[in-house]
Amino acid sequence: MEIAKLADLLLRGTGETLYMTLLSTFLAYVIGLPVGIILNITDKDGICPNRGINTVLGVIVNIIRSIPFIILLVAIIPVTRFIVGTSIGSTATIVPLTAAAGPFVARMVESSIKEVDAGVIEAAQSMGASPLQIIFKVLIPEAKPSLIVGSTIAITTILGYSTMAGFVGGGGLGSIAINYGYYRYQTDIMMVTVVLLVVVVQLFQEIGMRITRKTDKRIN
Amino acid sequence: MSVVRIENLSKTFHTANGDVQALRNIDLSIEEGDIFGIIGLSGAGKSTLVRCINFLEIPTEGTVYFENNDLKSLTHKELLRARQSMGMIFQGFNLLEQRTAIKNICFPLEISGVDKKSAEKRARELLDIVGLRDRERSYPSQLSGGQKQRVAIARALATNPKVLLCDEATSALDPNTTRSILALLKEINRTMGVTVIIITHEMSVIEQICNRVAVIDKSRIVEEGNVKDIFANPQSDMAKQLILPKNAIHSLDDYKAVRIVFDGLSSYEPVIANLIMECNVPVNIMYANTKDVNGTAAGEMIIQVPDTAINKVNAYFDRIGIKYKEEM
Ligand SMILES: Nc1ncnc2c1ncn2[C@@H]1O[C@H](COP(=O)(O)OP(=O)(O)O)[C@@H](O)[C@H]1O
Ligand SMILES: [Mg+2]
Repeated sequence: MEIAKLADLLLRGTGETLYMTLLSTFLAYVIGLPVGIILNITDKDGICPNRGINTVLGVIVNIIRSIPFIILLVAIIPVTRFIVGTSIGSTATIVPLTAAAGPFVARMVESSIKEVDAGVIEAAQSMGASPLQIIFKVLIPEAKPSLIVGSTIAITTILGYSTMAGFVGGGGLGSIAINYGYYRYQTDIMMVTVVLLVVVVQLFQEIGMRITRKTDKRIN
Repeated sequence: MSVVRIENLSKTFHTANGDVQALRNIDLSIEEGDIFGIIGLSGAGKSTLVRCINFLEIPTEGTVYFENNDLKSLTHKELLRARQSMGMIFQGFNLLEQRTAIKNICFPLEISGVDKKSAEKRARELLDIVGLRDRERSYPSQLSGGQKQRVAIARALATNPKVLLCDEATSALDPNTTRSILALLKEINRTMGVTVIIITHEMSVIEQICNRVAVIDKSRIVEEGNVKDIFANPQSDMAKQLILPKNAIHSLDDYKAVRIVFDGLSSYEPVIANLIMECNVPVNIMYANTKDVNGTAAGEMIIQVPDTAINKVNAYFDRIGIKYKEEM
Protein backbone atom coordinates (compact mmCIF):
# COMPACT_ATOMS: atom_id res chain seq x y z
CA MET A 1 0.00 0.00 0.00
CA GLU A 2 1.31 3.44 -0.77
CA ILE A 3 2.34 5.63 2.10
CA ALA A 4 -0.18 8.40 1.36
CA LYS A 5 -3.08 5.98 1.27
CA LEU A 6 -1.89 4.28 4.43
CA ALA A 7 -1.51 7.59 6.22
CA ASP A 8 -5.00 8.54 5.14
CA LEU A 9 -6.37 5.22 6.42
CA LEU A 10 -4.65 5.54 9.78
CA LEU A 11 -5.66 9.17 10.15
CA ARG A 12 -9.29 8.31 9.48
CA GLY A 13 -9.06 5.36 11.89
CA THR A 14 -7.64 7.55 14.62
CA GLY A 15 -10.36 10.13 14.01
CA GLU A 16 -13.09 7.49 14.25
CA THR A 17 -11.58 6.05 17.42
CA LEU A 18 -11.44 9.46 19.05
CA TYR A 19 -15.00 10.22 17.94
CA MET A 20 -16.36 6.94 19.35
CA THR A 21 -14.37 7.19 22.55
CA LEU A 22 -15.15 10.79 23.37
CA LEU A 23 -18.82 10.69 22.48
CA SER A 24 -19.35 7.38 24.32
CA THR A 25 -17.53 8.70 27.37
CA PHE A 26 -19.69 11.80 27.34
CA LEU A 27 -22.89 9.76 27.05
CA ALA A 28 -21.67 7.28 29.66
CA TYR A 29 -21.28 10.20 32.07
CA VAL A 30 -24.73 11.55 31.17
CA ILE A 31 -26.04 8.24 32.51
CA GLY A 32 -23.34 7.30 35.02
CA LEU A 33 -22.97 10.61 36.87
CA PRO A 34 -26.57 10.82 38.10
CA VAL A 35 -26.76 7.07 38.71
CA GLY A 36 -23.50 7.13 40.69
CA ILE A 37 -24.72 10.06 42.76
CA ILE A 38 -28.05 8.36 43.44
CA LEU A 39 -26.24 5.16 44.43
CA ASN A 40 -24.12 7.16 46.85
CA ILE A 41 -26.82 9.26 48.49
CA THR A 42 -29.34 6.41 48.82
CA ASP A 43 -26.77 4.22 50.55
CA LYS A 44 -27.52 3.58 54.23
CA ASP A 45 -24.80 6.07 55.22
CA GLY A 46 -25.77 8.55 52.48
CA ILE A 47 -27.64 11.81 52.82
CA CYS A 48 -30.97 10.33 51.60
CA PRO A 49 -30.91 6.66 52.56
CA ASN A 50 -33.36 4.64 50.47
CA ARG A 51 -32.89 0.93 50.50
CA GLY A 52 -35.34 0.20 47.66
CA ILE A 53 -33.85 2.56 45.09
CA ASN A 54 -30.31 1.66 46.12
CA THR A 55 -30.87 -2.06 45.75
CA VAL A 56 -32.72 -1.88 42.42
CA LEU A 57 -30.16 0.47 40.83
CA GLY A 58 -27.29 -1.52 42.28
CA VAL A 59 -28.58 -4.79 40.84
CA ILE A 60 -29.16 -3.30 37.37
CA VAL A 61 -25.67 -1.82 37.35
CA ASN A 62 -24.12 -5.09 38.48
CA ILE A 63 -25.97 -7.15 35.87
CA ILE A 64 -24.85 -4.97 32.98
CA ARG A 65 -21.33 -4.83 34.35
CA SER A 66 -21.05 -8.58 34.53
CA ILE A 67 -21.96 -9.12 30.86
CA PRO A 68 -18.73 -9.44 28.86
CA PHE A 69 -18.48 -6.53 26.44
CA ILE A 70 -18.19 -8.68 23.35
CA ILE A 71 -21.49 -10.39 24.22
CA LEU A 72 -23.21 -7.12 25.03
CA LEU A 73 -21.97 -5.82 21.69
CA VAL A 74 -23.81 -8.56 19.81
CA ALA A 75 -26.82 -8.84 22.10
CA ILE A 76 -27.60 -5.17 21.79
CA ILE A 77 -27.58 -5.12 17.95
CA PRO A 78 -31.39 -4.80 17.63
CA VAL A 79 -31.36 -1.80 19.93
CA THR A 80 -28.46 -0.29 18.01
CA ARG A 81 -30.33 -0.77 14.71
CA PHE A 82 -33.38 0.86 16.19
CA ILE A 83 -31.49 3.91 17.43
CA VAL A 84 -28.86 4.43 14.71
CA GLY A 85 -30.44 2.59 11.78
CA THR A 86 -27.43 0.33 11.27
CA SER A 87 -25.26 -1.90 13.44
CA ILE A 88 -21.92 -1.28 11.74
CA GLY A 89 -19.59 1.69 11.71
CA SER A 90 -18.37 3.96 14.41
CA THR A 91 -21.66 5.74 15.13
CA ALA A 92 -23.38 2.40 15.70
CA THR A 93 -20.59 1.35 18.09
CA ILE A 94 -21.40 4.27 20.36
CA VAL A 95 -24.59 2.53 21.51
CA PRO A 96 -22.99 -0.63 23.00
CA LEU A 97 -20.02 1.41 24.26
CA THR A 98 -22.34 3.73 26.17
CA ALA A 99 -24.40 0.82 27.48
CA ALA A 100 -21.30 -0.94 28.77
CA ALA A 101 -19.54 2.13 30.12
CA GLY A 102 -22.52 3.82 31.81
CA PRO A 103 -22.72 1.37 34.75
CA PHE A 104 -18.93 1.30 35.00
CA VAL A 105 -18.85 5.08 35.22
CA ALA A 106 -21.69 5.00 37.78
CA ARG A 107 -19.59 2.84 40.13
CA MET A 108 -16.53 5.06 39.64
CA VAL A 109 -18.57 8.17 40.42
CA GLU A 110 -20.11 6.46 43.45
CA SER A 111 -16.70 5.61 44.86
CA SER A 112 -15.24 9.07 44.15
CA ILE A 113 -18.09 10.69 46.04
CA LYS A 114 -17.70 8.25 48.88
CA GLU A 115 -14.23 9.73 49.45
CA VAL A 116 -15.74 13.06 50.48
CA ASP A 117 -15.17 13.47 54.23
CA ALA A 118 -18.33 12.69 56.20
CA GLY A 119 -17.47 15.57 58.53
CA VAL A 120 -17.71 18.09 55.70
CA ILE A 121 -21.15 16.76 54.76
CA GLU A 122 -22.19 16.95 58.41
CA ALA A 123 -21.00 20.56 58.53
CA ALA A 124 -23.11 21.41 55.47
CA GLN A 125 -26.12 19.72 57.06
CA SER A 126 -25.56 21.68 60.25
CA MET A 127 -25.78 24.85 58.18
CA GLY A 128 -29.19 23.84 56.88
CA ALA A 129 -28.12 22.74 53.39
CA SER A 130 -30.75 20.71 51.52
CA PRO A 131 -29.80 17.40 49.86
CA LEU A 132 -29.68 19.07 46.43
CA GLN A 133 -27.44 21.84 47.75
CA ILE A 134 -25.18 19.23 49.31
CA ILE A 135 -24.93 17.36 46.00
CA PHE A 136 -24.07 20.41 43.92
CA LYS A 137 -22.12 22.50 46.42
CA VAL A 138 -20.36 19.83 48.45
CA LEU A 139 -20.27 16.34 46.96
CA ILE A 140 -19.43 17.16 43.34
CA PRO A 141 -16.98 20.04 43.95
CA GLU A 142 -15.18 18.23 46.78
CA ALA A 143 -14.94 15.02 44.73
CA LYS A 144 -13.87 16.85 41.57
CA PRO A 145 -10.20 15.81 41.55
CA SER A 146 -11.15 12.20 42.13
CA LEU A 147 -13.90 12.42 39.49
CA ILE A 148 -11.35 13.67 36.97
CA VAL A 149 -8.98 10.80 37.77
CA GLY A 150 -11.97 8.48 37.33
CA SER A 151 -12.84 9.98 33.96
CA THR A 152 -9.27 9.42 32.78
CA ILE A 153 -9.60 5.76 33.67
CA ALA A 154 -13.04 5.62 32.05
CA ILE A 155 -11.87 7.19 28.81
CA THR A 156 -8.94 4.79 28.39
CA THR A 157 -11.13 1.81 29.23
CA ILE A 158 -13.74 2.92 26.69
CA LEU A 159 -10.98 3.34 24.12
CA GLY A 160 -10.01 -0.27 24.74
CA TYR A 161 -13.62 -1.41 24.30
CA SER A 162 -13.92 0.56 21.09
CA THR A 163 -11.05 -1.36 19.50
CA MET A 164 -12.77 -4.61 20.52
CA ALA A 165 -15.79 -3.41 18.59
CA GLY A 166 -13.54 -3.54 15.53
CA PHE A 167 -14.18 -7.31 15.45
CA VAL A 168 -17.79 -6.73 14.48
CA GLY A 169 -17.29 -3.87 12.05
CA GLY A 170 -17.11 -1.13 14.62
CA GLY A 171 -14.73 1.13 12.70
CA GLY A 172 -11.73 3.01 14.04
CA LEU A 173 -8.20 1.77 14.73
CA GLY A 174 -9.54 -1.53 16.04
CA SER A 175 -11.09 -2.39 12.69
CA ILE A 176 -7.88 -1.52 10.88
CA ALA A 177 -5.83 -3.72 13.18
CA ILE A 178 -8.19 -6.65 12.66
CA ASN A 179 -8.75 -6.25 8.92
CA TYR A 180 -5.15 -5.66 7.87
CA GLY A 181 -3.18 -7.31 10.64
CA TYR A 182 -5.29 -10.37 11.31
CA TYR A 183 -7.19 -11.18 8.14
CA ARG A 184 -4.55 -10.00 5.63
CA TYR A 185 -1.41 -10.84 7.65
CA GLN A 186 -0.07 -7.27 7.30
CA THR A 187 1.58 -7.31 10.71
CA ASP A 188 3.35 -4.00 10.11
CA ILE A 189 0.06 -2.13 9.76
CA MET A 190 -1.23 -3.79 12.90
CA MET A 191 1.90 -2.69 14.77
CA VAL A 192 1.42 0.90 13.65
CA THR A 193 -2.19 0.92 14.84
CA VAL A 194 -1.14 -0.51 18.20
CA VAL A 195 1.49 2.20 18.54
CA LEU A 196 -1.12 4.81 17.68
CA LEU A 197 -3.44 3.40 20.34
CA VAL A 198 -0.67 3.53 22.91
CA VAL A 199 0.03 7.15 22.02
CA VAL A 200 -3.65 8.10 22.34
CA VAL A 201 -3.94 6.37 25.73
CA GLN A 202 -0.78 8.11 26.97
CA LEU A 203 -2.15 11.42 25.79
CA PHE A 204 -5.43 11.01 27.66
CA GLN A 205 -3.60 9.86 30.77
CA GLU A 206 -1.23 12.80 30.73
CA ILE A 207 -3.97 15.37 30.14
CA GLY A 208 -6.09 13.84 32.90
CA MET A 209 -3.27 13.91 35.43
CA ARG A 210 -2.39 17.48 34.57
CA ILE A 211 -5.96 18.67 35.03
CA THR A 212 -6.20 16.78 38.32
CA ARG A 213 -3.03 18.37 39.65
CA LYS A 214 -4.30 21.79 38.68
CA THR A 215 -7.73 21.20 40.20
CA ASP A 216 -6.89 19.62 43.51
CA LYS A 217 -6.43 22.25 46.19
CA ARG A 218 -5.38 19.75 48.83
CA ILE A 219 -1.90 19.40 47.37
CA ASN A 220 -0.03 22.60 46.80
CA MET B 1 -35.21 33.22 78.23
CA SER B 2 -33.82 29.87 77.37
CA VAL B 3 -32.53 29.58 73.83
CA VAL B 4 -32.29 25.81 73.95
CA ARG B 5 -34.40 23.67 76.21
CA ILE B 6 -34.15 19.92 76.34
CA GLU B 7 -36.82 17.87 78.05
CA ASN B 8 -36.53 14.23 78.96
CA LEU B 9 -34.44 13.44 75.91
CA SER B 10 -33.27 9.90 75.22
CA LYS B 11 -31.46 8.50 72.22
CA THR B 12 -30.96 4.87 71.37
CA PHE B 13 -28.95 3.66 68.39
CA HIS B 14 -30.01 0.38 66.87
CA THR B 15 -26.91 -1.35 65.60
CA ALA B 16 -26.07 -4.80 64.31
CA ASN B 17 -24.56 -5.58 67.70
CA GLY B 18 -27.68 -4.57 69.59
CA ASP B 19 -29.04 -1.33 70.96
CA VAL B 20 -26.78 1.40 72.31
CA GLN B 21 -28.44 3.88 74.61
CA ALA B 22 -26.36 6.99 74.08
CA LEU B 23 -28.53 9.40 76.11
CA ARG B 24 -31.00 8.83 78.93
CA ASN B 25 -33.57 11.30 80.23
CA ILE B 26 -31.62 14.46 79.62
CA ASP B 27 -33.06 17.73 80.90
CA LEU B 28 -31.18 20.93 80.18
CA SER B 29 -31.97 24.56 79.79
CA ILE B 30 -29.48 26.89 78.16
CA GLU B 31 -30.09 30.59 78.64
CA GLU B 32 -29.39 33.38 76.20
CA GLY B 33 -25.81 34.62 76.55
CA ASP B 34 -24.60 31.51 78.35
CA ILE B 35 -21.31 29.85 77.63
CA PHE B 36 -22.54 26.44 78.54
CA GLY B 37 -20.09 23.57 78.95
CA ILE B 38 -20.95 19.91 78.62
CA ILE B 39 -18.16 17.77 79.96
CA GLY B 40 -17.68 14.02 80.13
CA LEU B 41 -15.37 11.21 79.22
CA SER B 42 -15.13 9.82 75.71
CA GLY B 43 -18.23 7.81 74.80
CA ALA B 44 -20.38 9.51 77.43
CA GLY B 45 -22.79 10.77 74.77
CA LYS B 46 -21.64 14.37 74.34
CA SER B 47 -21.53 14.43 70.54
CA THR B 48 -24.89 12.72 70.34
CA LEU B 49 -26.36 15.34 72.68
CA VAL B 50 -25.03 18.27 70.68
CA ARG B 51 -26.24 16.67 67.43
CA CYS B 52 -29.70 16.33 68.96
CA ILE B 53 -29.73 20.08 69.57
CA ASN B 54 -29.73 20.79 65.81
CA PHE B 55 -31.57 17.58 64.97
CA LEU B 56 -28.68 16.08 62.98
CA GLU B 57 -29.68 13.23 65.25
CA ILE B 58 -33.36 12.70 65.90
CA PRO B 59 -34.04 11.93 69.58
CA THR B 60 -35.75 8.63 70.27
CA GLU B 61 -37.75 10.28 73.04
CA GLY B 62 -38.18 13.72 74.49
CA THR B 63 -38.25 17.23 73.11
CA VAL B 64 -35.77 19.86 71.99
CA TYR B 65 -37.00 23.44 71.98
CA PHE B 66 -35.03 26.04 70.05
CA GLU B 67 -36.30 29.54 70.81
CA ASN B 68 -39.41 27.88 72.20
CA ASN B 69 -40.14 25.97 68.98
CA ASP B 70 -40.42 22.22 69.30
CA LEU B 71 -37.98 21.04 66.62
CA LYS B 72 -40.00 17.86 66.15
CA SER B 73 -43.01 19.87 65.03
CA LEU B 74 -41.14 21.77 62.28
CA THR B 75 -41.46 20.86 58.60
CA HIS B 76 -38.24 19.85 56.84
CA LYS B 77 -37.91 23.35 55.34
CA GLU B 78 -38.46 25.01 58.69
CA LEU B 79 -35.87 22.73 60.27
CA LEU B 80 -33.29 23.69 57.63
CA ARG B 81 -34.06 27.33 58.38
CA ALA B 82 -33.74 26.75 62.13
CA ARG B 83 -30.33 25.17 61.56
CA GLN B 84 -29.20 28.38 59.87
CA SER B 85 -29.68 30.00 63.28
CA MET B 86 -27.37 27.44 64.89
CA GLY B 87 -23.71 27.49 63.90
CA MET B 88 -21.57 24.46 64.56
CA ILE B 89 -17.83 23.86 64.75
CA PHE B 90 -16.01 20.56 65.03
CA GLN B 91 -12.84 18.92 66.25
CA GLY B 92 -11.78 18.19 62.67
CA PHE B 93 -12.70 21.70 61.37
CA ASN B 94 -14.62 20.18 58.42
CA LEU B 95 -13.81 22.92 55.93
CA LEU B 96 -14.47 22.46 52.23
CA GLU B 97 -10.99 21.51 50.99
CA GLN B 98 -11.60 22.76 47.46
CA ARG B 99 -12.72 26.23 48.54
CA THR B 100 -10.64 29.16 49.75
CA ALA B 101 -11.12 30.57 53.24
CA ILE B 102 -13.43 33.31 52.03
CA LYS B 103 -15.46 30.89 49.89
CA ASN B 104 -15.84 28.60 52.88
CA ILE B 105 -17.31 31.47 54.85
CA CYS B 106 -19.60 32.33 51.93
CA PHE B 107 -20.93 28.77 51.88
CA PRO B 108 -23.68 29.07 54.52
CA LEU B 109 -24.68 32.40 52.97
CA GLU B 110 -25.05 30.77 49.54
CA ILE B 111 -27.15 28.08 51.21
CA SER B 112 -29.46 30.69 52.67
CA GLY B 113 -29.75 32.51 49.35
CA VAL B 114 -27.62 35.62 49.97
CA ASP B 115 -26.25 37.13 46.76
CA LYS B 116 -22.56 36.74 46.00
CA LYS B 117 -21.53 40.34 46.58
CA SER B 118 -23.18 40.72 49.97
CA ALA B 119 -21.88 37.28 50.95
CA GLU B 120 -18.29 38.27 50.20
CA LYS B 121 -18.68 41.52 52.07
CA ARG B 122 -19.99 39.69 55.13
CA ALA B 123 -17.24 37.06 54.80
CA ARG B 124 -14.57 39.78 54.88
CA GLU B 125 -16.06 41.29 58.02
CA LEU B 126 -15.88 37.87 59.64
CA LEU B 127 -12.31 37.26 58.48
CA ASP B 128 -11.50 40.51 60.26
CA ILE B 129 -13.17 39.37 63.45
CA VAL B 130 -11.26 36.09 63.52
CA GLY B 131 -8.01 37.81 62.60
CA LEU B 132 -7.43 36.25 59.18
CA ARG B 133 -7.99 39.17 56.87
CA ASP B 134 -4.83 38.45 54.89
CA ARG B 135 -5.63 34.76 54.34
CA GLU B 136 -8.87 35.05 52.40
CA ARG B 137 -7.47 33.34 49.32
CA SER B 138 -5.76 30.52 51.19
CA TYR B 139 -7.05 26.99 50.85
CA PRO B 140 -7.51 24.94 54.04
CA SER B 141 -4.43 22.86 53.17
CA GLN B 142 -2.38 26.05 53.45
CA LEU B 143 -3.62 26.93 56.95
CA SER B 144 -2.58 25.74 60.42
CA GLY B 145 -5.03 23.97 62.73
CA GLY B 146 -5.76 27.12 64.68
CA GLN B 147 -6.29 29.12 61.49
CA LYS B 148 -8.62 26.44 60.11
CA GLN B 149 -10.69 26.59 63.28
CA ARG B 150 -10.85 30.36 62.96
CA VAL B 151 -12.19 30.01 59.42
CA ALA B 152 -14.68 27.43 60.70
CA ILE B 153 -15.80 29.84 63.44
CA ALA B 154 -16.22 32.63 60.90
CA ARG B 155 -18.21 30.26 58.68
CA ALA B 156 -20.43 29.20 61.58
CA LEU B 157 -21.13 32.84 62.43
CA ALA B 158 -21.84 34.01 58.88
CA THR B 159 -25.61 33.68 59.12
CA ASN B 160 -25.78 35.47 62.49
CA PRO B 161 -26.78 32.41 64.49
CA LYS B 162 -28.30 32.58 67.95
CA VAL B 163 -26.30 29.61 69.14
CA LEU B 164 -22.83 28.28 68.41
CA LEU B 165 -22.37 24.55 69.01
CA CYS B 166 -18.76 23.49 69.56
CA ASP B 167 -18.02 19.77 69.55
CA GLU B 168 -14.50 19.26 70.94
CA ALA B 169 -13.49 22.33 68.95
CA THR B 170 -10.12 22.64 70.64
CA SER B 171 -9.28 18.99 71.15
CA ALA B 172 -7.06 18.81 68.09
CA LEU B 173 -5.14 21.97 69.00
CA ASP B 174 -2.06 22.62 71.15
CA PRO B 175 -2.51 24.42 74.51
CA ASN B 176 -1.56 27.87 73.23
CA THR B 177 -3.82 27.67 70.20
CA THR B 178 -6.59 26.29 72.42
CA ARG B 179 -6.30 29.33 74.66
CA SER B 180 -6.51 31.73 71.75
CA ILE B 181 -9.51 29.95 70.22
CA LEU B 182 -11.29 29.94 73.58
CA ALA B 183 -10.53 33.63 74.00
CA LEU B 184 -12.04 34.24 70.55
CA LEU B 185 -15.19 32.32 71.47
CA LYS B 186 -15.53 34.33 74.66
CA GLU B 187 -15.06 37.55 72.73
CA ILE B 188 -17.74 36.52 70.24
CA ASN B 189 -20.10 35.65 73.07
CA ARG B 190 -19.51 39.04 74.66
CA THR B 191 -19.64 41.26 71.61
CA MET B 192 -22.15 39.45 69.41
CA GLY B 193 -24.31 37.97 72.14
CA VAL B 194 -24.08 34.49 70.67
CA THR B 195 -24.94 31.72 73.11
CA VAL B 196 -22.11 29.19 73.07
CA ILE B 197 -22.45 25.50 73.86
CA ILE B 198 -19.13 23.79 74.37
CA ILE B 199 -18.59 20.05 74.42
CA THR B 200 -15.30 18.91 75.87
CA HIS B 201 -13.54 16.27 77.91
CA GLU B 202 -11.10 18.80 79.38
CA MET B 203 -11.90 20.58 82.62
CA SER B 204 -9.48 23.37 81.72
CA VAL B 205 -11.69 24.37 78.79
CA ILE B 206 -14.74 24.66 81.05
CA GLU B 207 -12.80 26.64 83.64
CA GLN B 208 -11.43 29.02 81.08
CA ILE B 209 -14.65 30.29 79.52
CA CYS B 210 -17.87 28.63 80.70
CA ASN B 211 -20.28 30.14 83.17
CA ARG B 212 -22.42 27.03 83.42
CA VAL B 213 -21.61 23.37 83.08
CA ALA B 214 -23.33 20.01 82.88
CA VAL B 215 -21.39 16.87 83.69
CA ILE B 216 -22.40 13.86 81.64
CA ASP B 217 -21.51 10.33 82.68
CA LYS B 218 -22.63 7.15 80.95
CA SER B 219 -25.45 8.78 78.98
CA ARG B 220 -26.87 10.76 81.92
CA ILE B 221 -26.38 14.23 83.28
CA VAL B 222 -25.08 13.70 86.77
CA GLU B 223 -24.49 17.28 87.82
CA GLU B 224 -25.31 20.72 86.54
CA GLY B 225 -24.83 24.26 87.74
CA ASN B 226 -22.56 27.30 87.83
CA VAL B 227 -18.97 26.51 87.00
CA LYS B 228 -17.80 28.26 90.17
CA ASP B 229 -20.03 26.18 92.41
CA ILE B 230 -19.29 22.86 90.79
CA PHE B 231 -15.63 23.58 90.66
CA ALA B 232 -15.60 24.55 94.34
CA ASN B 233 -17.74 21.71 95.51
CA PRO B 234 -18.20 18.84 93.09
CA GLN B 235 -20.88 16.37 94.15
CA SER B 236 -20.85 13.57 91.60
CA ASP B 237 -18.06 11.04 91.27
CA MET B 238 -17.54 12.06 87.66
CA ALA B 239 -17.21 15.74 88.49
CA LYS B 240 -14.74 14.91 91.24
CA GLN B 241 -12.77 12.71 88.91
CA LEU B 242 -12.61 15.47 86.30
CA ILE B 243 -11.73 18.22 88.75
CA LEU B 244 -9.58 16.59 91.38
CA PRO B 245 -6.01 15.75 90.57
CA LYS B 246 -5.20 12.09 90.44
CA ASN B 247 -2.78 10.70 93.03
CA ALA B 248 -2.66 13.94 95.00
CA ILE B 249 -4.02 12.20 98.05
CA HIS B 250 -1.93 9.33 99.24
CA SER B 251 -1.93 8.57 102.93
CA LEU B 252 1.07 9.48 104.97
CA ASP B 253 1.10 7.95 108.44
CA ASP B 254 0.06 10.38 111.13
CA TYR B 255 -0.93 12.99 108.59
CA LYS B 256 -4.36 14.00 107.35
CA ALA B 257 -5.11 15.41 103.92
CA VAL B 258 -7.47 18.34 103.83
CA ARG B 259 -8.91 19.82 100.68
CA ILE B 260 -9.58 23.53 100.94
CA VAL B 261 -11.49 25.54 98.42
CA PHE B 262 -10.95 29.19 97.68
CA ASP B 263 -13.68 31.30 96.28
CA GLY B 264 -13.90 35.00 95.93
CA LEU B 265 -11.95 37.13 98.35
CA SER B 266 -10.32 34.54 100.55
CA SER B 267 -7.73 33.67 97.98
CA TYR B 268 -6.22 37.08 98.42
CA GLU B 269 -5.52 36.39 102.08
CA PRO B 270 -2.29 34.66 103.09
CA VAL B 271 -4.37 31.71 104.33
CA ILE B 272 -1.60 29.14 104.52
CA ALA B 273 0.94 31.43 106.11
CA ASN B 274 -1.59 32.45 108.77
CA LEU B 275 -2.48 28.81 109.34
CA ILE B 276 1.12 27.93 110.03
CA MET B 277 1.65 30.83 112.36
CA GLU B 278 -1.64 30.65 114.24
CA CYS B 279 -1.79 26.91 114.72
CA ASN B 280 1.92 26.39 114.86
CA VAL B 281 1.73 23.33 112.56
CA PRO B 282 3.92 22.14 109.70
CA VAL B 283 1.84 22.23 106.51
CA ASN B 284 2.66 20.18 103.49
CA ILE B 285 1.12 21.41 100.24
CA MET B 286 0.32 18.38 98.07
CA TYR B 287 -1.51 20.13 95.31
CA ALA B 288 -2.51 23.67 94.52
CA ASN B 289 -4.53 25.11 91.73
CA THR B 290 -5.92 28.58 92.03
CA LYS B 291 -6.94 30.80 89.22
CA ASP B 292 -9.18 33.50 87.99
CA VAL B 293 -12.58 32.15 87.02
CA ASN B 294 -14.84 34.69 85.37
CA GLY B 295 -13.42 37.63 87.26
CA THR B 296 -13.34 36.16 90.75
CA ALA B 297 -10.55 34.07 92.17
CA ALA B 298 -11.24 30.40 92.71
CA GLY B 299 -9.28 27.28 93.25
CA GLU B 300 -8.35 24.51 95.55
CA MET B 301 -5.48 23.13 97.53
CA ILE B 302 -4.80 19.84 99.15
CA ILE B 303 -2.63 20.13 102.23
CA GLN B 304 -1.37 17.69 104.78
CA VAL B 305 -1.29 18.45 108.46
CA PRO B 306 -0.38 16.22 111.44
CA ASP B 307 -3.21 14.08 112.86
CA THR B 308 -2.75 15.67 116.20
CA ALA B 309 -3.30 19.17 114.88
CA ILE B 310 -6.35 18.46 112.75
CA ASN B 311 -8.90 19.90 115.17
CA LYS B 312 -6.96 23.10 115.53
CA VAL B 313 -6.68 23.40 111.77
CA ASN B 314 -10.37 22.78 111.21
CA ALA B 315 -11.24 25.37 113.83
CA TYR B 316 -9.01 27.88 112.07
CA PHE B 317 -10.72 27.24 108.73
CA ASP B 318 -14.14 27.56 110.38
CA ARG B 319 -13.12 30.88 111.85
CA ILE B 320 -11.89 32.43 108.62
CA GLY B 321 -14.84 30.92 106.72
CA ILE B 322 -13.09 28.84 104.13
CA LYS B 323 -14.61 25.61 102.79
CA TYR B 324 -12.65 22.51 103.68
CA LYS B 325 -13.06 18.79 103.72
CA GLU B 326 -10.94 16.07 105.23
CA GLU B 327 -9.97 13.51 102.62
CA MET B 328 -9.39 9.92 103.67
N1 LIG C 1 -24.37 6.64 64.68
C1 LIG C 1 -24.16 5.82 65.74
N2 LIG C 1 -24.51 4.52 65.67
C2 LIG C 1 -24.34 3.71 66.73
N3 LIG C 1 -23.81 4.08 67.90
C3 LIG C 1 -23.44 5.36 68.04
C4 LIG C 1 -23.58 6.29 66.96
N4 LIG C 1 -23.12 7.50 67.38
C5 LIG C 1 -22.70 7.32 68.66
N5 LIG C 1 -22.90 6.04 69.05
C6 LIG C 1 -22.58 5.48 70.38
O1 LIG C 1 -23.16 6.32 71.36
C7 LIG C 1 -22.29 6.49 72.46
C8 LIG C 1 -22.00 7.95 72.68
O2 LIG C 1 -21.21 8.43 71.61
P1 LIG C 1 -20.81 9.95 71.45
O3 LIG C 1 -22.02 10.79 71.60
O4 LIG C 1 -20.03 10.09 70.20
O5 LIG C 1 -19.85 10.15 72.72
P2 LIG C 1 -18.79 11.31 73.05
O6 LIG C 1 -18.95 12.40 72.05
O7 LIG C 1 -19.14 11.73 74.44
O8 LIG C 1 -17.45 10.68 72.99
C9 LIG C 1 -21.05 5.65 72.17
O9 LIG C 1 -21.19 4.42 72.81
C10 LIG C 1 -21.10 5.49 70.67
O10 LIG C 1 -20.50 4.28 70.29
MG1 LIG D 1 -17.58 13.18 70.65
